[in-house]
Amino acid sequence: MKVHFHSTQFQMTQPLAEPVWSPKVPRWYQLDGAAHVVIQLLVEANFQFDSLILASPQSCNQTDFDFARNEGRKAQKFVHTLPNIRASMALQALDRVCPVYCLLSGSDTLEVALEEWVAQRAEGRRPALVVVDPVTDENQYTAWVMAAGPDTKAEVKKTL
Amino acid sequence: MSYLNFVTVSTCHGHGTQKLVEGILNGCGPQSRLNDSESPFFSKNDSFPSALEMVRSELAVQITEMKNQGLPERGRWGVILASTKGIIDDLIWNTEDYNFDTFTPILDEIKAIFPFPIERSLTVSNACTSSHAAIEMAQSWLRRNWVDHVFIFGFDKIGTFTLGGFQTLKALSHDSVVRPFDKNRNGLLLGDSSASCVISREPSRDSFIVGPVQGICEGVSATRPDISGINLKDCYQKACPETPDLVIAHGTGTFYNDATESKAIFQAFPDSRNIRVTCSKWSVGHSLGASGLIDLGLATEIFKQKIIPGILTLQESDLEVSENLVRKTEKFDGDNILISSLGFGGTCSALNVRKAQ
Repeated sequence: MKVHFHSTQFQMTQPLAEPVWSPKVPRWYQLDGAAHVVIQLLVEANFQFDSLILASPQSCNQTDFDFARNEGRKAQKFVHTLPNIRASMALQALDRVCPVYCLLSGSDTLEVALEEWVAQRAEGRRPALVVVDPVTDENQYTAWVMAAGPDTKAEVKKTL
Repeated sequence: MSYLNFVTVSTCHGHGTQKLVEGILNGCGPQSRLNDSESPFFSKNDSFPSALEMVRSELAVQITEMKNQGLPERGRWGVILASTKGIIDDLIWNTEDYNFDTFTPILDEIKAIFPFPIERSLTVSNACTSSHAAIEMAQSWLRRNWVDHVFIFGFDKIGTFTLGGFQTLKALSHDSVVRPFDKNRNGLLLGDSSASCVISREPSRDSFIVGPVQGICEGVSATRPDISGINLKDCYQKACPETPDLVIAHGTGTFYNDATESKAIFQAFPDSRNIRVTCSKWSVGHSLGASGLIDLGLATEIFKQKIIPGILTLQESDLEVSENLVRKTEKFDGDNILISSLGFGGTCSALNVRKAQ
């Protein structure tokens, strides 16, 4: 099996530069940093997948914290306190519809998510695993995605 | 195929699925401590019990009930927490203690109190469809032969953070009455609840069959579903290939949610005229991550008591399902219930419950 892997990072600076995928996500400027990096990641990677496993070891805690602490709290900020919104916005940018699994298990989150990815793949599905990791002190976000390549004979031969 | 071998709930109506139905039949509305409170939002409020205290007490009661039902002690167990924000209100207001993990303390409590060894554990946080997603994950674990039983606990503390968030969204009912599918529906109320269930590979006494959960994320909007209902319709059709006798709708009483469910029910089943539609949130409030499990508890009582509680706040509906809505208590002799769920980010899901033969 060939596994595609792609990683990216995003710096949440103001004012935000308009991303290439902005026409697909009209209110892109309302997204939090983690949502930005997930969309950027999946658009850059352009992998094929039929389910999306989103592992957020730190959940949406930075967004929670910002929402609770900042004056003038807004609805659009509140919805980003839910981890699945990141996946939803990425699917919007990609024009896709698929099952999403937002999994967390403390320090075991990555292990659990990888296990789920392998199991889904073994069942014949084509999952994408996205891991988001905010570097909170620097408003910087990193994320990576892995997805299985096509299982054509040619692809297998090329991989071998 | 998987079996629902146990389900219980703790809502504003008390503990247990029977109390849930009694409360709905009596017409009680959501009684969250906060919905009627004058407490200012966005601040820690010490007059409310901590979320972790609530978790401890409710878990203790629910697990005791589970043990009393004589579930098999043999077998490998997994546990899943279904939650949207965990115990965030215990942590978010205190910078010093804020440790950026609002779920693991709940899982740790489950592990500490659970009477059997646990093979694996996980939190699923798929917004308001978390219960459905947790059941789907449990079914995967059973199918892969990773475990023999999965205990699922659904919980979200309705605190100032969550309530304040829904207030900013203007999603709360203006007059503290939730009117699902009504022409004059104007929003939801939140409800403190928790629920748990056991999904197993093998049936036990009084089991129910839970069909494969069908969930999808449509990525249309952060705050509302695709109002065409097309993706929810697909979930319904896959979850329930035969026309259900009853749909327990998500029924939040919000404009888009109810309209979408109405369309999806009509599109999914050609003979939709015979489907009855009811819901619970007008009576117990919206309990977020636990809401799907609460409706699962309601479904089992509907099978047992052979009655469908009506939506007592409903006055006039202009939606497609108007004629299908259960307004007063009705008899039920069906064997096929569909439970619908929607959440922020266009996540939608459905599952089918049937009596085991």
